[in-house]
Amino acid sequence: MRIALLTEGGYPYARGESAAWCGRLVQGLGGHEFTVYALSRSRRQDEGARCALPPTVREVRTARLWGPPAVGRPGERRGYGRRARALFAAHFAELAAAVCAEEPQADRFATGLYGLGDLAREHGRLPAALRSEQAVRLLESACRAPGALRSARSASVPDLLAVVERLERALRPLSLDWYGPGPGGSGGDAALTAADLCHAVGAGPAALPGLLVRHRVGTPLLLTEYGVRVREHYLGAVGAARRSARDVPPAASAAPVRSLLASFQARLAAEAYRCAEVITPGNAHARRWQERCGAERHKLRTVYPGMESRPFTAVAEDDGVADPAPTLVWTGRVEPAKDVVALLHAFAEVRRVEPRARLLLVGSGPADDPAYAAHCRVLAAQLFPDEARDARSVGTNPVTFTEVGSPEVPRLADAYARAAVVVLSSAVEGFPVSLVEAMFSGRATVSTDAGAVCEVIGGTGLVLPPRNPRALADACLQLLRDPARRARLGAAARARALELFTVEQNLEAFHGMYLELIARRRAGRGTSGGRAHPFARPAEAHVAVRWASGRLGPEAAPAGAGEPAVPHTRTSPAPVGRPSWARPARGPGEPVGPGPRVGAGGGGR
Amino acid sequence: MSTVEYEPRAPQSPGAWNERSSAALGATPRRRERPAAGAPRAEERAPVRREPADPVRPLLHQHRELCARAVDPLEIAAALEAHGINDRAAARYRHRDVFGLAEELFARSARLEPPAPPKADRPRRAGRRTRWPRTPGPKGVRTVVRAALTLLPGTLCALALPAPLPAQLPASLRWPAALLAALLVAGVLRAVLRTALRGVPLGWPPVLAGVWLLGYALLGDGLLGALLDGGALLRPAPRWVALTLAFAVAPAAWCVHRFATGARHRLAVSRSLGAFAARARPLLAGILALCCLALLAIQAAARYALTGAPLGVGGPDAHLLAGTAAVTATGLLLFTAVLLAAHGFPRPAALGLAVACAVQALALGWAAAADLPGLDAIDAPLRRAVDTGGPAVVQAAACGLAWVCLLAPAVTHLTGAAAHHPLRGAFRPEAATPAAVPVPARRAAPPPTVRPPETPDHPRPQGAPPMTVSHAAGLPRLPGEEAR
Repeated sequence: MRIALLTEGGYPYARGESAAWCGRLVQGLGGHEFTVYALSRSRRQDEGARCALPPTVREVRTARLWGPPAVGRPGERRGYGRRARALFAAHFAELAAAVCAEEPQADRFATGLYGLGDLAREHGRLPAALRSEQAVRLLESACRAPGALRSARSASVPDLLAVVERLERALRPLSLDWYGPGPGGSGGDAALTAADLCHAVGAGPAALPGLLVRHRVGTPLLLTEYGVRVREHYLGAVGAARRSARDVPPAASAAPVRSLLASFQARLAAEAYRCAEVITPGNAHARRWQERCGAERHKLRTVYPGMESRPFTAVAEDDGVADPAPTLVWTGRVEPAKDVVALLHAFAEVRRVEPRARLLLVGSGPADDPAYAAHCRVLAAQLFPDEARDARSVGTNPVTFTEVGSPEVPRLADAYARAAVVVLSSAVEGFPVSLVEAMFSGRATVSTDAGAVCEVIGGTGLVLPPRNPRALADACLQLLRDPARRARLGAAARARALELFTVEQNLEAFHGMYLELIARRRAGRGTSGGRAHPFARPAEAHVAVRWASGRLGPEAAPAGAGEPAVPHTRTSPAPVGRPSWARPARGPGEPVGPGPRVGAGGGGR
Repeated sequence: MSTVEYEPRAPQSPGAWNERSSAALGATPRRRERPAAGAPRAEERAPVRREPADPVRPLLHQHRELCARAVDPLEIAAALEAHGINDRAAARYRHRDVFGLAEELFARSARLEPPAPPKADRPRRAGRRTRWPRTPGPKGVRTVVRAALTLLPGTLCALALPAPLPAQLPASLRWPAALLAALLVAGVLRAVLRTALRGVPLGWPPVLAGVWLLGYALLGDGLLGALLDGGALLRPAPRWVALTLAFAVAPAAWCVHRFATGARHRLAVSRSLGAFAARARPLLAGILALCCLALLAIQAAARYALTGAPLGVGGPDAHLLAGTAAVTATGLLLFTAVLLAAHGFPRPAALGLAVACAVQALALGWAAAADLPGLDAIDAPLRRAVDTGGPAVVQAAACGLAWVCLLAPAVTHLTGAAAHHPLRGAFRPEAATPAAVPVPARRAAPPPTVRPPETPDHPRPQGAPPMTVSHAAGLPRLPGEEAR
């Protein structure tokens, strides 16, 4: 299958979000052919390093969401003619009305959006029109219309200009030359319209090309969000108000601007959720946000991010033998959100009952807040004086701060191997990676109820409220006193993690969804044309191999392939025999079967 | 509370009012009043930590700034989650989830009222000023450099014109010297233009048109006279014309700058596009009038300095009037074109200049056509006009017509807010960039000095050295900025 991977500020930029996940996806699904359409968010990102591309990536096309719009050819510099201007006015008025309205008007938004997309295809020059006086005037009348957002009514002229500027940037994907033949489009097989499936990462501007292609030729859209774009926008708006970057107009922090931009983002996300065939949130938290923003429940399938489990599965299981000097292990970056202070207080309680217990804090990266790290060290030194076995030996502190890579803990897995209990004391948490690593290592865990902790741990560890050192100490003591229970919990946690959080599970889920979407795709062009015939377009219609390469045996050529594959610049690494997706993806000894939340039908939490 | 008769009064205890209500409650107040013998009395019991009656109020107080400036409940929800309040914590505030809590906070917080519309209709003088790029140094130095730059063409002209150098030079060197001087002036003009245009691309057509206009102003009248009456083709205009045009660069550049600054001030205080247009129109008219006045004054001064003829001597001379009108119209036309181009409308500017060039070329062609056999009388109207007001009439008419044509787009575009976008011209425009980057070969990223971002949502890449993560997904991540 030809899959168009649409990203915004992510893969293939090494500094991008979810670059690692996308890299594993294109690398792991060898039988498919990926074309990456990437939107960059800043000059630093655009000029920065890029990920190494696996052979499955056929082409990378990039565009900018920052800076001034690219000046077109000389013929494109002049404005629209009368007819095009009337069309632009009609479509932009629809879009502006939908954005400014208090009540969501999904149909108007969609009409305006696709109208502008068609206008850009036929007449080009959309960025210039979006920056024109006409656009500002239309936006102003939409803001002053009855039923407009309350905060938008007071928008002043600089506010309107700032909004128009941001809208132009956000709508830039509409006027790119990615969509095949048309004025200024480099057509043919390389275009986005030729893809069998669009996989958009994020429901922001990245989803726009997918929406447009779905609107034109009915390409199915799969939407993956590990961080919900709308939520990031809100958090970013909070940050932007405090920030004075060069390319953020000073007026961007004004309330009307923020409200209009947030409204645009929410409407765009709602349209993306409405049109996507399948939406895959990364955890229940993302899922709740998506539901809140208008995603239908039956489209949502939680796919947990896959994590490399190999170094941790090598750790020996907890043998259930009581340790005379048990070690509590905490890993992470020392920062206030992790609430290391609470952990130290809890450990003081633990020491009162178990005087031989030790605490190992493993820092996993440079601390963002060195002052907080220093504070924690001072607190540990005050709470726990150095101790020695007898009067003649040198003492050590029961609390050890160390880093991954130090002689004490050369690898992260070694830290988990030393642990009797792994503790997570965060007050704020997203997807708790260190918890999953502890589960892979087969260790019993005590964690605070923050972020996706409850969802990850299931019933295989102790969970207690955050900012409660006494409860944390009690839970740790319970586990320290009961080695058998510790061993049971650790084994259960490892089984759970291997079932839900491996890379293979993640790839398997997406591979299944790709095949399902292609099977349900309508054969004809357009979404409305004709009835849906299952398997009207087989997944093998386009096989990612070069026909003339000679590496492929005659028996492997798909007999019923509808269209001949075009020669490509690169071939799949392992096309011998049968396509690599048809071979078992996982190695021996690993659990079989997708996780319970992956199957069809909108299961999951 | 034994046998209390019913009488209307405020309730004093949490118990029932009277027998009837106690029966309705089904409670036995007597027994509650007498605790068991072993139980501690009320004052001995550990103090119960009471939840406040309104648990949301402390939260509202804690996040009052956030709530006041939020435009949407979802914004509050996102920020609350970043502070560690999840659905379980929201249950403490008697809400089902964070969204419900955020909605209550949003509804209860006093919205920050939008700032009152500015009272002063007159914009303040102090404030942001337009930036003049590419001139490093502190502000005072920059101003001086800029002023000196705009005065440079006039100074060069003033130095070159009265000098008897060309006359003393041998004829073979006279033309190279003139060419050198022209190139020098052109270079300075280019620098001034670049500063005034603030990075807006101009393109070749308007530049060529401007060169033609200047050339016609200096040589055109002589050429036209020669075509009509015969004689040497190359008869330069009086020296004050060149001097006027060269010195007019300074007020024109200042007017462009002043217009941009004034418009920006008016933009900042305008509540609507109509209000801004109403404020910008007088500004534009004033700037044009100022430029016109400056041109007239410079002309008078230049003429006096070079010819020694004081103003108004000899009464209104038709030829002098036409010459003055021609130079003024040329200057105004060029100024308006630069103004339009500086605010992002180079196309109308080029068209306006092209109209003037076309009319001038037409007049020259007309005069030349009379030399053709059989077309002797064709230039009669032109000859009559030139006889009345001198050859400068043609230039005055051409530039005046073009200026009037240019006035319409100027008033339309320059009184619109989009022309004064704070960011317009702040960037260097970029040439059309190839949107597609076909991968030529396998390109490995350089060894990651930049480590792939590690967020909980997006776990680490294969083969990367193990590290734990961790920044919470809840912490603000800015769009437009890479993940850390």
